[in-house]
Amino acid sequence: MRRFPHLGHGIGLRPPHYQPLLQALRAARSPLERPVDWVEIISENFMVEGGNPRAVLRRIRAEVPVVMHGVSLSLGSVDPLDEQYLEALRALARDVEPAWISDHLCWSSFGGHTGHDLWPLPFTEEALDHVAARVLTVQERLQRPVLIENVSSYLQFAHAGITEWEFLSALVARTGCGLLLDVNNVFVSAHNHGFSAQAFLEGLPPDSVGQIHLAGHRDEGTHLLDTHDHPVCDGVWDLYRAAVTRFGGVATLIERDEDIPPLDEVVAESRRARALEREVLGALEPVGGPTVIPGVGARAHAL
Amino acid sequence: MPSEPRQGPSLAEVQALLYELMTAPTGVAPALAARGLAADALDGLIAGDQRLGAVARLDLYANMYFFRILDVLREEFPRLAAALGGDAFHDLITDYLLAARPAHPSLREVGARLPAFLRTQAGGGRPWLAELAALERTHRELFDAADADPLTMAALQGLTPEAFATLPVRLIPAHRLLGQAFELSAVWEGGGSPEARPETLLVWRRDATVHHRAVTTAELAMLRRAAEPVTLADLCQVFAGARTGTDDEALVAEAFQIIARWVDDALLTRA
Repeated sequence: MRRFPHLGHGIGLRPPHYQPLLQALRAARSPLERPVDWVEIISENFMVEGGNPRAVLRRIRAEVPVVMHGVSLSLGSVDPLDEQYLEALRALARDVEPAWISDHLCWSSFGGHTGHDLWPLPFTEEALDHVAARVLTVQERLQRPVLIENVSSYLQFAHAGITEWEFLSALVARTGCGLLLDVNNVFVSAHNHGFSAQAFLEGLPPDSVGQIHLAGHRDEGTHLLDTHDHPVCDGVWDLYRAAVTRFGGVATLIERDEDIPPLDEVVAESRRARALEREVLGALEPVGGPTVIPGVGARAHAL
Repeated sequence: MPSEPRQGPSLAEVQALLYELMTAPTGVAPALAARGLAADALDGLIAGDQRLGAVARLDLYANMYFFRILDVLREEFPRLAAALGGDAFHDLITDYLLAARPAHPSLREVGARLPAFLRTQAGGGRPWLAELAALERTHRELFDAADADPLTMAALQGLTPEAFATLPVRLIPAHRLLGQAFELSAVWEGGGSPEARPETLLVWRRDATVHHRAVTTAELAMLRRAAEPVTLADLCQVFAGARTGTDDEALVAEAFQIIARWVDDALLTRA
């Protein structure tokens, strides 16, 4: 069995889609009719006591698996891990029973203050030691392996002696974590720093990738900006094809955070990802529906 | 690892420098100058190229830091932003982020201290701005405050008079009372200026929507009492104590009208 099951193809759960998604899920007469196989939430947006977000999440969770994606673990920060945040994450996970929990390879806090951004790390041995120790702590607290995502970046450090993919591979080897491969972020960072996106993919252990993100970005002339406000572009689709060829069928998600279009448009991109995966894997291995794992699928009762 | 470790600053040194430069309100180059550093001081730390130099690359992060938070606060405080105007709101947030650096993992909390910060500002002769911000912030906080099952009129109608009088109730958690020195309804609706007229606002969530309205002195006394478990009979007594000079029957009828309104507004829950 895979460490991180292939949940199928999903989308990020965003407020404009709450009601139409719930209606479409409830109207589906079989899993094949569902608009999505699963959804991903931004963990911090649901670390609240009640109200509409938690109510909608309970209803969605009753229909499909949910994955928790955080932005505030700040794994690379030299600040101590935020124990209150970790406890809130644990509490949310107890309630949601997510298929898995993920966050980013970055730092986002310093001196007790938060930046609400995903700041890049210098890929050094010191940083690797630091992040690996913190990933182990987080996994112990959460009692599960986590997925770590590569971020889009706009700067690299002159003293970095390791590539990003070497850093991620070493992190997997040292901690047993999985990877959330953001294909758009690879595309953006490769352009901004002039490395080969294909080399990035080939540098990762084949069985390490538990989830894939696809998203859009903006061309600012001097650099690509990871904006999540456009459809996935052709270059990213091509790179996704290469990722599927290398990593096989992996739970794949469309992220859209700005200029959010109607649900149908985001679902159409998710279905395009599913079709592309089937096209690639059809020639390589048998293709079935999403892997069904006990305790991970939809629940019989709302929370 | 294929490469030998290179000499460079420690992780802590990198983060201390970058945090300071990325959160400086002036942008990276002036922040470097303020530290007595030359514009090319980052060249040995950040790998630039002909498209973007080191400072320009770090400026991308500096801009994202500020404008992401500005966007969130503009969305959370739309009436405050409209009352101030774009430039003044931008300047306010610049000052606010220096005085109250974000310290909570969730962006939801980034505006929590803005009303208090506004109270410390001159406000251009408009002291009501802090009250407007407090009201907008309260709406935000109650939007996802704790849930409770509201008491329904059907449930009350099924009670005997004795059970009704002794039923323990309390206000739902998703409510707040705000004492204001200015009457803000005109500016809340998008026009006019607030009048200096003290009032207390009841803010609460019904289903997924947050509402507010002004309350009378007598209703306020009942609301304060209902913050803790209380019987409906006791609530009527609180009302009577706050309203003198009226006959008992009329007082009870008035108190019941208020309680009925609370039930309609989904404000009451069983204690």
